[in-house]
Amino acid sequence: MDLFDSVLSGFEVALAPRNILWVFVGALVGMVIGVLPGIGPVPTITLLLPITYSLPPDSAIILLAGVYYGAMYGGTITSVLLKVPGEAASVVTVIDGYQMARRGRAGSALGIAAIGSFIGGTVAILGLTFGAPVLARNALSFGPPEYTVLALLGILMVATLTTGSTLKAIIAAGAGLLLATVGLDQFVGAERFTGGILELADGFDFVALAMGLFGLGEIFYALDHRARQTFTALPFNNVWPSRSDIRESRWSILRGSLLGFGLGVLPGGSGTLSSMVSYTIERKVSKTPHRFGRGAIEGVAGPETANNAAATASFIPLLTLGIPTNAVMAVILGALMLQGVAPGPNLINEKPEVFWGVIDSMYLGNVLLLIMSIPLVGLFVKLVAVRESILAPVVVAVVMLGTYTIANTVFDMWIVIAFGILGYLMRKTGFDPGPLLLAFVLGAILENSFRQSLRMFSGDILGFVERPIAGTLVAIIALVIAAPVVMRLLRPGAKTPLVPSDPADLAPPPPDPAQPAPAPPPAQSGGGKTAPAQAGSADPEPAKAITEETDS
Amino acid sequence: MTDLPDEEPEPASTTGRLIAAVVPLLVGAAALVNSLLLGIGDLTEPGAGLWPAGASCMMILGSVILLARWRSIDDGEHFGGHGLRTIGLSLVLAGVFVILFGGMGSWPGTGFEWATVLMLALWLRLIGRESWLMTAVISVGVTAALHVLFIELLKAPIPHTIG
Repeated sequence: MDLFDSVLSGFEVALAPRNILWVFVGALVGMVIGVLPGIGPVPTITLLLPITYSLPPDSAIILLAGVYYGAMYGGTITSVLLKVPGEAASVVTVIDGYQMARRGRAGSALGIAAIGSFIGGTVAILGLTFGAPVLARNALSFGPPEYTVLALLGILMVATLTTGSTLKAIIAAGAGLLLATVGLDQFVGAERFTGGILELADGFDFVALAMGLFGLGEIFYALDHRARQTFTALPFNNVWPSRSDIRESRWSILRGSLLGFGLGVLPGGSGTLSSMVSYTIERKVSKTPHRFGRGAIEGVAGPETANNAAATASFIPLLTLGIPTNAVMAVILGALMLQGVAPGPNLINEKPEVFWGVIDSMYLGNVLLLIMSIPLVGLFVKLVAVRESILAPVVVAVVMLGTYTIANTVFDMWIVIAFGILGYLMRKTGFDPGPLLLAFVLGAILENSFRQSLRMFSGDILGFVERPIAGTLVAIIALVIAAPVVMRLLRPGAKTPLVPSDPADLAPPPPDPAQPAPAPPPAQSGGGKTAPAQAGSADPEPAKAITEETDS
Repeated sequence: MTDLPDEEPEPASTTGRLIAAVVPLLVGAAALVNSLLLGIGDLTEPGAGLWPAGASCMMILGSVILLARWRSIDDGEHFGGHGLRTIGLSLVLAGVFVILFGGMGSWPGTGFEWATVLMLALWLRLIGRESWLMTAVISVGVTAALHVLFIELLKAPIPHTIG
């Protein structure tokens, strides 16, 4: 079957009435949680796992994918109208989006964000359509050594590209790898780190871990930062950008699409990172950089395009190599596993309906989001009125019930609470839980392929560098480790910012005292979510949140 | 409804940052000792402890570097008394929910409806400081909605008393 037939057969799956319904539900749920600052895509997708359990694999992943890219659309609305980023990937949109809204151009900002998101998403889907089969074909020759090095590179890249401290991300990844070893060792049958607890013989349940770290952990963190939120949305006119808006932002949209796609494919290159890098690039290439922070439309168009392109592109490594590149993809990998579908280079041949169905559903999803986001803006803005104090216990109840339904065991509910505490402590102490979850998911793949490789090489560890693909990947790992060290030696004391480290560079002009000025919370990698904003707090410090420390 | 205090997160104290580096070091060290006890074997025949030993070393190495630079690392937040009390209360409520839901010892528990309605009501009243009316409406309404979703629609085998 050639590419054209495959794509066409994918549309047959995507356009089946039940799947149209799931695309719609996924995109709508995604937009809603994108708007709500109290809940992000990781816990939402995890929460939906019990529901997807009863669906066929194609519908399940179509629904979950819709939630992810829908959240990217939704996060924009509150960033522009309320100065509250609904999710981490929209943190930079606040800077110029809100300023545009204050100048009466909210409609232009929202319209261009929706159009940019649509174009970015579509470019990435086209890349996915043509690029994924090529990658999958080449990955067929991958053996255990290649998978070992690839998974290691994935974890390392996530740690390097994280929006927080690289060093802390590496420690968190180490903890994730350790947690993945809990249970019975498949090779020699020994019990590891179970502490004699019978329920741990099969290891920690992925859902319980994700629900705890990202569901409960996020709620505990929000409780710590509580603020009675009284946001007033700025008025907005029609949500259609003018001809000159489109002319001003067309190149930003193009750059955002390509950048988002490129970064999305890389491990760690989440929507959050790509939107931040896009903002920096837009300001750098602008002939009038002084407009940035004062309502430059390019500062909305570029990042919003890039985060959608990245969200879509991050499906490539998952669907073709079976390697998740951020926390959201880790949860979607978990969903595929629950469905008995093993993502990897064979997926395209063994389950073409899942592979092409999911990809083609994204075309539909993007069209639906474009249609929905324009007339429903007013409705979504009203959602922010739902107080976090009401949302929190409801989410706790749903998280607990959802966890129970996966394995029907109360033990997992205690595990959720334990990981909720860990997730909270990690956030408070500057550790991003994303790398932990990702390393936990990759842990089993990594250990199995590492031990199989050692057997293949009869214990000769140099075997990894003697194979062309694995050897190249080892060289890339060495480069990723060595580059920051070399840069540090060349410029002692300097930071290597992915985006400018000078807060003055990104900070908007002094806030209007009449307006509440909630600070954008620290961004998290991997489709993480944002903490609730602080009403009445000082000027935002996005640069602090998005500067990568080389400590690291 | 009482206004709740806004808490701008203060940066972590030096002691807090030190603890944030020491804890992963201790966890890594404990895991390494356990891995060695499991037996690391050799590269030809890796034992059960080889891989966890590697992961432990990753944690230890990272923590040691973090410890060496703990004064210059400026992330992390201060643990405030009010926040900790609220989280402590929410943990108690979550714990009560699980005990009521699944029982304890020989007691089978009340099933999910009572557990949910009680947890929601206490949370909304004590943590959310919602009015009695709001508390009653939301806790009963959400419990009913969850019952419909999980028991009636998804037919999930959740311990329940109604239906």
